[in-house]
Amino acid sequence: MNVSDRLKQAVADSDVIHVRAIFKRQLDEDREKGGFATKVLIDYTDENGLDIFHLDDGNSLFTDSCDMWTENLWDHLFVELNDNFSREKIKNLWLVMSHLRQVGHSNFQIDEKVTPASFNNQDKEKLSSHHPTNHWWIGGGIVALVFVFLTYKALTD
Amino acid sequence: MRTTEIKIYYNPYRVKTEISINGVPHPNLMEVVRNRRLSQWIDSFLPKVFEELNSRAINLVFEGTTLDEEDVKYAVEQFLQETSDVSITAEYITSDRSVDERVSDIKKLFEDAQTGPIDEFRSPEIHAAFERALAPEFEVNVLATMSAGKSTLINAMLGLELMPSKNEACTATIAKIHDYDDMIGFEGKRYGNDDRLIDDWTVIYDPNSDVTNKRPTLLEKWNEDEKTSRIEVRGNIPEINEREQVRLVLVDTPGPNNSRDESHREATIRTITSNRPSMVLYVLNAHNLGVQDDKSLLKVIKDMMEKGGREAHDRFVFVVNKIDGFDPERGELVTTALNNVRSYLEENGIHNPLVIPVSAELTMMLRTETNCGEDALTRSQRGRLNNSKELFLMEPKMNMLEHVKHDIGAIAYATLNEQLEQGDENRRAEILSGVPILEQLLENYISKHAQPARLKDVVDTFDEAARKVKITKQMKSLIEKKGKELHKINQVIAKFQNDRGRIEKAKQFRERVENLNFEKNEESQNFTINIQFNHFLRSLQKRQKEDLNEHEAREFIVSKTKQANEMMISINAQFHDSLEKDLRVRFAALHEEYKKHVADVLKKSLPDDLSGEIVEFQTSLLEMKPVNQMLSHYQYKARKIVGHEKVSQIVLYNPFTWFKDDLNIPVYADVQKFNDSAFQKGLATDLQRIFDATRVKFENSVRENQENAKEALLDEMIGIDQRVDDILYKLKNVEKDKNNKEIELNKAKNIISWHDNFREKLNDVLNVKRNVK
Repeated sequence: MNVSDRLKQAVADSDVIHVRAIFKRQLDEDREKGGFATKVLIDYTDENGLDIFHLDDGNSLFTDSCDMWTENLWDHLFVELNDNFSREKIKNLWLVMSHLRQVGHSNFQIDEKVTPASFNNQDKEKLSSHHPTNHWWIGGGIVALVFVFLTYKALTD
Repeated sequence: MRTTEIKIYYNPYRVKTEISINGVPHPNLMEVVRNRRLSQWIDSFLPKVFEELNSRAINLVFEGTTLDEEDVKYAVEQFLQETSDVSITAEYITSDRSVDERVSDIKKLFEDAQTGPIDEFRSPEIHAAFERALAPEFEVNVLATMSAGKSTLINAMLGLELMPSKNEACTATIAKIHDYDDMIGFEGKRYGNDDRLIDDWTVIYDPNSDVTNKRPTLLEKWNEDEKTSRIEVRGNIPEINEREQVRLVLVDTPGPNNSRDESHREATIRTITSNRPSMVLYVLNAHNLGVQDDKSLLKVIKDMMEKGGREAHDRFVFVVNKIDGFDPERGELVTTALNNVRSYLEENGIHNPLVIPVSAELTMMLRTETNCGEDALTRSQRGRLNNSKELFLMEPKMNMLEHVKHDIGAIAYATLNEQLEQGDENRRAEILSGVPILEQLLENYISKHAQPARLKDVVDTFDEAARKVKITKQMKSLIEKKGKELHKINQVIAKFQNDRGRIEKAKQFRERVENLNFEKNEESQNFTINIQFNHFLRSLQKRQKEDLNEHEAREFIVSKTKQANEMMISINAQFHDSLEKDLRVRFAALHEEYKKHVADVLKKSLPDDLSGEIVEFQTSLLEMKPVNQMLSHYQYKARKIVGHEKVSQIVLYNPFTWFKDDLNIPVYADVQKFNDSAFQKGLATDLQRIFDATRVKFENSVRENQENAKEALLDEMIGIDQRVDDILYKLKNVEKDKNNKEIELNKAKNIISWHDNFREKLNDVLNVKRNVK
């Protein structure tokens, strides 16, 4: 995924509020775009030395048990970003998003018209390490995602 | 049937009520009214009385002010209409001494106190509090839905066409018009987004100037200039009398959907939710109720009205404008329009609103012609003036005073009706048009609510001196003790003072205050509405099914931004309220804890055999100001605007500015279709950015409030330490030297007698009993 001019400008201006707003909208869009486009944006911001993250405050409804991972929880975790925009909270959102996609939640399925963002092995490791109770879900999910991505790419190239 | 006599005595200047049944105080009923303004409890009082007394007939005796008498009468009438098989006879004993007179007397008392023996009256703190309490500015905020004629209403009240009204959808700045009765003409100055002065006082209208100046255009230019954020105007608002300590300020508010400056939204919410006396005129278009887009604002008003009782009922006036467009001969009735407005407000949860129909244009034209001459009106206006005047003078159904006869109180009605009968043709047309009714309500509100509330604040500022006198009285009784006893007292106080445990605890307490941190709670985070907002943005950034042309794209932006604004208003209002409430609760808890800490220390450091006198003395010394008084310190600071950061253009002031650089929305100059999802995503991101930026601003404002509150609490603790040191020093000196004892005793006697005299005079000023003048 390409980094938009808007993000480049916001990073150049060190406009933290603007960058966070872009991330939030991207994060929300990732629900139906497949992949983790926000990750690309985060990498870009990190590479340009702009620190937009809070330290995690430890206050979250997030739980390790994936039985509790619902769309409501995702919505709630998203609002938690208003008060504490931390890397941990974004990772938790990714975890819940992946899980809901895997279990077939209709609001988290990929809109196939849209090119999914790249997602590398390192990200896989990062995410799966946060998922102690149901590793196979995530592992399987990631494999499926990569598969969809590669197939899609092969078809479109 | 036995008649029960209920006597209500209510003093609005002290917010003090006494209730007796057949001459005996009634504790249950007193509980309902304690520390509350009459306007807040009177409507629910009579049902409670009949429930408590199990009686069907009462004789009600009300003793208080003439203006409060109106509320009691109204409550009795309402109750009798709603309740069968009960009877109430009422007797009113009221004082007609004006509030203005009382304010003058209090000012005189305060001036005298400057040369009295109590230092507290000379402290900068009490001076600031006194000035704050009597600050003359009384704001009347004018809000409106689109094209409701807000600027025309303001111009009607000003008596000339000062505010730009030709394109009201573009009113994007806050303009404040200050009433100075001794000025001829109007002058103004303006500020930019960063609160920087752009133009200092400049003449806007000079009646002695040539004809062109009779149609002032400067404000129009300023309003159109995007650099302008705020305009201040001063001049004579002719129909409002400048009164003792009240200077009317008409605030032309752009409305939260219309502003070009983010801080205006915050200012509007603060205006509505403010505890300070102020009025809100909410202008609606009589012909265009179906398209109101003001639900969030009405919700904030509804919440305030639910909390505020009768005072809030008087504070929010719904003005139904453009009544001149009705033609009763064609069956277009004002009554129908008023009923529609009431139903509309009812649907929005606003019950029993004060609705006043007006033709602002007629009054504006009548007054402009009188004040500035015929030339000040255009040819078209002169034609409309004649037509409207004839309609209102000749058509009995166009008498606005009769339409509101039962809503505005007997005194207001009688005053205006007398003017209607005795006035010349123009004055009669003005009254029939309804604007003078608003002006009368405004005068009433100031006398009935604003000024009594101010007097109460002034009296509260004297509490500090009263505390000092209480300590002096107790100290006097200690000084009067003989040698050995006095020595023992000194030892005890010195021991208390040097007690390491106490000092350590006080230190710890201070540290806790200093470390008190702002915390967001579940309520302030308000997940439900935040989730809704996020869903809204998500739906916004989803690809449209069909391509949009340029016009549709603009419409899309306008409509979605409106929706977003409304949600943001609700979120921010609740966010702000809950954080303020949270701070107040935690502050009160600390205050309470401090009191417990003092009680605990006293218990440990004073021997059991010591008389209660010294315990009482110590307790007075260590007493803190009441929470409200301390918080008023920070609230006053908090009222200042916390900056004017221009976040984005997309706050809807003009749809045709949508594609300017600030928005980052792609410009499709040569493309007719908007089919790029970046268009929607860009808009969603912009709205997200505005939302987040506003939130940060609110948080900073709350943090600043909190720091001020902490400062007030710590200042108070330092003050207590100083008081203890001072008294200890005096008591030691008294013990050592008999001469000192005499001197201190005389000083104390002097202070006590002076203060007794002062209290007596103050009581006279504030008394509302009939025999006291």
